[in-house]
Amino acid sequence: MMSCRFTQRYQEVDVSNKLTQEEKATYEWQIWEPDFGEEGQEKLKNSAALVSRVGGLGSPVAYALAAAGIGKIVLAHGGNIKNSDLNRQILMTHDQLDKPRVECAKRRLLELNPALEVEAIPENVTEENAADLVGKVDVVFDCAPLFQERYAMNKACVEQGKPLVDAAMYSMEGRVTIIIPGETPCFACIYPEFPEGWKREFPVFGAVAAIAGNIAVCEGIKILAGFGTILAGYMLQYNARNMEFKKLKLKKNDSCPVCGDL
Amino acid sequence: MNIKISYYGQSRQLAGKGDEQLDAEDNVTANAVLKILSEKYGEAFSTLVLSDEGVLRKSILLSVNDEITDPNQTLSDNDELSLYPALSGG
Ligand SMILES: [Zn+2]
Repeated sequence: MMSCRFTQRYQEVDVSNKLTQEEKATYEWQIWEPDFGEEGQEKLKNSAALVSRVGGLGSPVAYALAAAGIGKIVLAHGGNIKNSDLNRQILMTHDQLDKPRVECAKRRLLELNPALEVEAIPENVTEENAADLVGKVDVVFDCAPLFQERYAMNKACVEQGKPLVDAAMYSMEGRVTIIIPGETPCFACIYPEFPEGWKREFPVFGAVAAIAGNIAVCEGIKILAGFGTILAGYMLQYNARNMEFKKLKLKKNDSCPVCGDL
Repeated sequence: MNIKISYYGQSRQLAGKGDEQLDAEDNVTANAVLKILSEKYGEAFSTLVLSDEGVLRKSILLSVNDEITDPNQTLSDNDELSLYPALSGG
């Protein structure tokens, strides 16, 4: 069945770390999910995710991953907390203004889940560090504001065959798609050219960003645990102004300079 | 014939509306409609949507009736054309 093509877990994880009794109690309500169970929880525990920037999208992504019991999160985000971050970057707190974002995010994640391993890298993704960062994890969440970061992350994921969950937002809208290298269109297939006139500061509510972030984590959990049907090759687009949600089928570019040879 | 246009992302902000109806000539292409809209909404809209050659920019997804397509597509009466400029995070 075609729809099952992407439902297998993409990266094999060594599930050598078994669940403790305390973890079985903590995650009881999601272990009750029949498609997931203790086996799914064990896969999450033994998995690592990269979250590129813990801003409006990446904060709810990292928080939901921590709550779900993923084993390790690598956070990559430079800079210090500003007042104008606080409406949407929900891992940032007022008492940490002017202090590093990744450190605040790490503290908040560990308050929620002390068993979580957090690697906090005070840098944004670049062409230089993308391959290294992607190499540390099983799945990547792209939540970055700059298209340069997104293209660099896409290239590293395609080269390493790692699944990429791409989340984006603007105004009252958001989008999520999954890139499975060699199977789906990649980010450069979807947007072959850098957007002209893109402004990196734009209107948005934290709640609108968090919709995309939480959809992204639903997809990540399914990728890691291997169940359900993911948004591979489809762009989910929502408009919170009228609550219109739609899925658009994306097209691969056979001459894509990034994934055309796969 | 009648074409419905839906704007997303920055195109919505620059058009100042989410959707509208347009009376267009029969067999018009999607790109020809984008040129009409670019004249209507001015330079910022035009720069976002069209390249220097007057073709839809590749940083924008275009759909007709919710199917992603290319700007050469010929439109039919009551088709819905939607523009989705690339979005990001922050
Ligand atoms: Zn590609």
